[in-house]
Amino acid sequence: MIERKHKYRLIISAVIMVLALIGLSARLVFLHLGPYTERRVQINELRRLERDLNVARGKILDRNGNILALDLVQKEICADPVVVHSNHQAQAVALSLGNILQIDSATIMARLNSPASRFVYLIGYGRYVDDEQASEIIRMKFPGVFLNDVMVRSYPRGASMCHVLGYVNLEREGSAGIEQRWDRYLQGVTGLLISELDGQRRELYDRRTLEIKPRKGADVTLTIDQYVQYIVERALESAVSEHQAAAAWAIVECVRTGEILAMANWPGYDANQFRTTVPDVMRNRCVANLYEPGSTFKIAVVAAALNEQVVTSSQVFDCERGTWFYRGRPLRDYHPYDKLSVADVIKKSSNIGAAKIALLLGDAPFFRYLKAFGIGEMTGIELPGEEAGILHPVSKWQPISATRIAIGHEVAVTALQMLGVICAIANDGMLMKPYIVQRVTGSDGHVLFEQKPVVVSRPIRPETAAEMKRLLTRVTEEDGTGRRARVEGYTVGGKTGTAQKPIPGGYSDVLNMASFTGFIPAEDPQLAIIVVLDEPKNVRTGGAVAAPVFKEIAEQSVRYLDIPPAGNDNFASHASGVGSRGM
Amino acid sequence: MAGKNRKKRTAGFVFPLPVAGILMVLVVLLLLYVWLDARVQALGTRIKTMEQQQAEIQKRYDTELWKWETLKSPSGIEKMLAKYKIVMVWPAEINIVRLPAPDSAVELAPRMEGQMAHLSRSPRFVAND
Repeated sequence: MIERKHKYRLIISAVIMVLALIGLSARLVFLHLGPYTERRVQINELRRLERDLNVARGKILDRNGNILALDLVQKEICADPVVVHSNHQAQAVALSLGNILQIDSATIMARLNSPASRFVYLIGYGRYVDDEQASEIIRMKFPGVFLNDVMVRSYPRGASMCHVLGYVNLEREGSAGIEQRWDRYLQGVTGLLISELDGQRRELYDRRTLEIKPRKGADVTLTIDQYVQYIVERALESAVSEHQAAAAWAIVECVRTGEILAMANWPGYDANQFRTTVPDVMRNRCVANLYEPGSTFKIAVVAAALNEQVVTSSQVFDCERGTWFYRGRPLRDYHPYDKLSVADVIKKSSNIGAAKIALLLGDAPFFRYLKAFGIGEMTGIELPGEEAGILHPVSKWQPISATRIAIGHEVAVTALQMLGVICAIANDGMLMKPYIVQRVTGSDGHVLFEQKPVVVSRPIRPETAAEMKRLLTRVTEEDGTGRRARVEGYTVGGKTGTAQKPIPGGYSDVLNMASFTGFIPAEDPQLAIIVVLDEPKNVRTGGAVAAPVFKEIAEQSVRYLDIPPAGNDNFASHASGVGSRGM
Repeated sequence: MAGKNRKKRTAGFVFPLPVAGILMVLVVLLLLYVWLDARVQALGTRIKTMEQQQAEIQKRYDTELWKWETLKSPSGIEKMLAKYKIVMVWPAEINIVRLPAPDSAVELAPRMEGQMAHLSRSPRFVAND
């Protein structure tokens, strides 16, 4: 009897089990094969993982391998307001985070007060917390508050070289300077991962169906030397503060090769904080700012006239005691002179003398020489936003144009172009292409691009260049306009420039550009430097304002680069050795 | 007519040996599959952990690199010098002793040989040649 009872129970249990299994199996079959395509797609989509594998941008390095820009992983603090509010933690989150991050808790509360949203940046998009703050936030374990890892471009030297390096925007695109121009190389190639997730949203490694490894961006090595750059930046900063100038910029170039050792602007900005910077401050004035060069331009007309042999350095010109009327328009000298030789026209910076030399030379040859010196054309440096300058064709010149262009008016140049002219003179007449990127190295170590010195043209003969070097050395003698540019123990060649700024209807009597461009050591030039100060107050001449800055830069640079006073053949022949000293 | 040998007849159902063999092979294959699957899962988890570790180490390396680069920048060095009240100046040109370049050293070689010959005559001089 008992056995039969057990038997029935067993049979009923078995039947129930079988029916349940049949039911589940039928449901399974229907789900897999039945008319639930949409649901199947939804489930597959939920399980599917497709993720871009982000990769670090390449680094930017100086000529000695010091890192100027690199990618860092930073943490941004985010929250799900729905979760925070459902746990009644909004107030607590706002107060605690306010304390940790030293910000107003009301700001955080305002961000959390968007119940419809499932994702907010608690301290704003593009703002990050440091490691200590991050670990404190993690320790708090607030429901709905989490940290996101993001790759951020970082500049260890802050504002130094900001105009050269540029910056990367929040979409990770290079937006200025080297970052913009070399974005294609720096960016790298994003990878791709296609896989599946488990119930806890963890990736199932064995379900990876596709994994394309990312390729890191290439490293860009500049010709800049971070220490020379620092010297220049410091000199500009103190000059601006002393003369209350609106802006200042300077470039140091290796005469023999065209390598840019330093390129600095004031005011600068911290590239890590580019979002709070005014666009005008971001402009690299060395290549993007056009100005009338003033007297520094006289070197071009004198070099051209000497090369054409229309004058000799000892030839004397009547400088009309300071005022000369040509075609009914007056031309004045800063200091009145009676008679000056061509050598003294340069030394004393006589406008009248330079204008008369230009007239002797003639418009067409003058224009041809200016073109050969690279005036009115972009230098082709690997930086964005370079200006070509303004040099009108001869057909558009007025009868007095040559007299004005000879003194650096009616023509606009960039500091880099002006530096090119003095470099060509210092480099035996050869105009080198200036360059700032030395090489680009792929993540696998292959050199993708390498820049070598390039001769653009030879506007003047070596003998003319030698004569010009001699004349320019006289400028820094005791009675020359550039005496404040002298460096103890070295011979310096150069030229001062003071140009009134153009304003609507003429030229300003109070606003001007003060500049000095020169080379050192004069016997065997290695470095060429240009310094420009915009709107200096009180003392306004290039000799008084820009020449001392040149001196400060040159004095420290030759010492740092170990350039001996009389030049060094060894140094010249191994151009890449310039600035090879590491910090 | 002789009947079947009762002694040779087995009692009940006998599982055929080939089927049993096939089933055994299937079971072994199944176990192997399960073992391989578990192994792949374990390796996958390990790879993922190591990938995370690598990313973490790379992150720390980059952060340290950043700190190091900040420290050794010219402004960083100046800050440190100021902090420890160390004043450094470049030597004056007159204080710099410049040694001849290697090419010039070759030119000087005969003179040096003469000096060596002179010194070698001295009883206290030992030349390493």
